Amino acid sequence: MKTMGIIITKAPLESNLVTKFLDLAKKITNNGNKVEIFLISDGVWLAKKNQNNPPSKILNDLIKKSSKIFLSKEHLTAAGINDDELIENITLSENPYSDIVTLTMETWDKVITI
Amino acid sequence: MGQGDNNMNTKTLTILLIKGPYASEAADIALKTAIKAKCQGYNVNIFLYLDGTWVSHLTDDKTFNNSGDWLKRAIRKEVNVKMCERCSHARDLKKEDIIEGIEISGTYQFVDFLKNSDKVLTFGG
Repeated sequence: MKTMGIIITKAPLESNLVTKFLDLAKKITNNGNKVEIFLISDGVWLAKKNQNNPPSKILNDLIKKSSKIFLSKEHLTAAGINDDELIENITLSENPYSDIVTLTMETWDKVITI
Repeated sequence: MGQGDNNMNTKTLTILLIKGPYASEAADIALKTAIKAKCQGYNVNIFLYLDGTWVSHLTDDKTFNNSGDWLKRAIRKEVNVKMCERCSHARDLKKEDIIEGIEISGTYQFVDFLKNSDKVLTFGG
């Protein structure tokens, strides 16, 4: 089993590519591989609960399929989103750049960014 | 999760930046990631491409967040920074106008970066 990393820097509806990348993530998990997602910059908005948009729904599906979702704490604070406003099973990253490096270089087999 | 600074790694990370500063956070994220990777002991390359080349032009101090400062820090930490010659020429970016320590080179240099990298991150897409 391989692990694909996806770094998302864009808000849910900022680009169609967000939905396309998450669709790709779903297909990867359907094929028995693993996907981990890192939300940073405006990407953190994807993890705010009670959203009614396609990419946020796919993200919830991925979490149900055990995909791990990391989220930059400093960008969450910058966006004014409280921890209790997040969907469940999100891993907060206190050192996002350090964590991105470690995940990219040591954990993920492949990585794509949007 | 993040490793401590100054570990020695033989792996190489290349970062491609294709968006200019202040248009989004892409330049800052790319440069901060590069600096962290270098601090963790990895070999790090940055290739400035398309509007990403504009970061090289931020030579002066500013009273607000300055991507040029992050680029200078990366160069001081010996991150290998190159920028696309055609993209630079198209934007009238000349060697004397840009931050010291950046090599203006052809995109074939980027291919060399790709060939010799373990991982590649693209920011600004």
